[in-house]
Amino acid sequence: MFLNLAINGVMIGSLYGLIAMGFILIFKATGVFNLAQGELVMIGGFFFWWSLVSLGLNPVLAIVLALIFATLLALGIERYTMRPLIGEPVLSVVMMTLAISMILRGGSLIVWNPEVKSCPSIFPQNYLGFGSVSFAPYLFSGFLLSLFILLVFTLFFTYTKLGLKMRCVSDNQVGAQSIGIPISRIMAATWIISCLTATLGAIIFVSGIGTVSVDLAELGMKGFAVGLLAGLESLPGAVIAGVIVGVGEILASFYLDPLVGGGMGHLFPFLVMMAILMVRPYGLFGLKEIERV
Amino acid sequence: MDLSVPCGKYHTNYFQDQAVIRSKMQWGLLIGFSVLMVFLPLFIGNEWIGMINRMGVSVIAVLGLSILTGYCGQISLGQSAFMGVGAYTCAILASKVGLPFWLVIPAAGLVSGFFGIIFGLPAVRIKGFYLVMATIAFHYIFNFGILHLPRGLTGRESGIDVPAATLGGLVFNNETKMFYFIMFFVALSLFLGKNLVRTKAGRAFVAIRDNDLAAQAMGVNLFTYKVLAFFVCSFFAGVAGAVWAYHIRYIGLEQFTVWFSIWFVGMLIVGGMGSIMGAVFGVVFLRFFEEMVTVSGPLLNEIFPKIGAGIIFSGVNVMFGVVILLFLIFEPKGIAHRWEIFKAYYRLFPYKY
Repeated sequence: MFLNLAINGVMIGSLYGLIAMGFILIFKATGVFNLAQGELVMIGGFFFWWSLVSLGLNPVLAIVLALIFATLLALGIERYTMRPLIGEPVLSVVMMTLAISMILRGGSLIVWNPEVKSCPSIFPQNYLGFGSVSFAPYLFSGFLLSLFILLVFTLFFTYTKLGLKMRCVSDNQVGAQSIGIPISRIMAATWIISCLTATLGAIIFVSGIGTVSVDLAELGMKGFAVGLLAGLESLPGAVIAGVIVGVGEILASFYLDPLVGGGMGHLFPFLVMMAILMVRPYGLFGLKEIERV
Repeated sequence: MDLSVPCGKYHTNYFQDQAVIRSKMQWGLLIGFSVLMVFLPLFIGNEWIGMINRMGVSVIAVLGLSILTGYCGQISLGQSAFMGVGAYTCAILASKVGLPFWLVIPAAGLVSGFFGIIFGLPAVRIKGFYLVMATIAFHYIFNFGILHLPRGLTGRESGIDVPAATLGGLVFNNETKMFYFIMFFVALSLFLGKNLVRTKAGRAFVAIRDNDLAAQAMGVNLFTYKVLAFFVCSFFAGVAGAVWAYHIRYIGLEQFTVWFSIWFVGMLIVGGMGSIMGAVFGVVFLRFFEEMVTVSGPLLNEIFPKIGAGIIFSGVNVMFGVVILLFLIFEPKGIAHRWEIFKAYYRLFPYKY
């Protein structure tokens, strides 16, 4: 039983890690703490549901269409909210992500209504497993996808020119611009990649649990907890922290919920995060910042 | 040059230099405004009084946030949960213990302030965005706490009724009476807030906001003042929660969600950070927008029939989001900054500077 729970925890945790990677990516490349990540996940799920169910497309086309919508959304966010704020204090930009999250949340409630919608699964229904361990196919593909995306991101930031430029921009915007890096284009690329990651995570999650609603944004909250636990700097750290949170959550809701009467699964990621932040304020894998006056 | 006094007026001693209200004109305006507020309920309808009451409660909460975020530079997305702590403390003390309101409200502030200290402690080590998460985590812990404490105490998901506040034979049980009740606390909070930021602690907060390492090097004790800022912020939130509980007379978890915390931060941005008047401007401006959405709710319901009761929440969210977005792009310093420009223009007229 314990092994089964732990393995399921690892898989769901890697999905949290995937969400957290999209969020860490924006932080790494632009220095912005994106409080709208949960809403980006939610709207990705809605895009997918809308193309799959309302338009009746086949799953592959629906995924492609959802990714195209996510790209357009990212371009819009960058052009109309982030670009006017280049050079403003980081606090203003963070507040702007709050405004984005409010607009996305309210807008999707208006467009798609608050009711919970069912979404057909694009994964096979039978459980995979070995011995006493069994897990849902969607969790397994989420696990594989997040490992794959981790690999892609790591290579991307180490070896490609765009990746190096992104690291440059995150390090010092003014400096990057003065050596000829087009900041707005780099930021657009960052937002697109982050939105795509969020949408992929949402697609797997939505078709796995079979429902879409605005509560999907809660996934973003878990993503924040995971990202901060990891330390906002390290992409592999995000997956490891995701696994810690996922395993902790599943074990807590199985072993602790009967003792306290439910709700522990939701609380646990935040308790872990708080405890670790008290000891290591810069997260598990974050860089300890040396500050000067 | 000091722009806060009209041409030709000079301060001749320290007390004049330090005064909040400096000229006869300002005294006149203050007294005139106070008299206007006293007689206001006679001239406007009940729904307007209700709106002003809701604004008043938000002013107290945003004022606390203004001191924490605007003056001390620590971000908090937990203001609504701290307000919830105050409201539940008030409800329990008033209905189960039966204390009078003038004991309950400070007690609610202190209990909320105590939780503020606990969640402010990480601020000493955690910086910036990590703090946002710590305060969001408080929302989850608050929810968990209310739903798991004994049912007789918090009422869990069914909420809890609050008796009306009484003073002698006077029972504060309608909007007009609550108007005076709330305005008393708003005035008290504004007075305290305005003066707090002029004290040693207020100057220490500003130093921490501008550069905490430099402040530490100059001898500002970061631990004491950051925790103090959190205490003050959540004390105000607790008072706001308690006043809210007496006003609405029934409290439940759904009144203290993370969205309201986000709205409070939005009000702070729109009003202008680092200004006591900014809290008032922001609340009045955004709450007025909210009322417009609420009033036009039936109309919106006809346009978007499927949404039902959620229309007000979603409409307000979209509208607040757009307003905050526009303010961040076009006037990041908020309404308070415009107000200062207007005042300087008025004093210097007909000269430009």
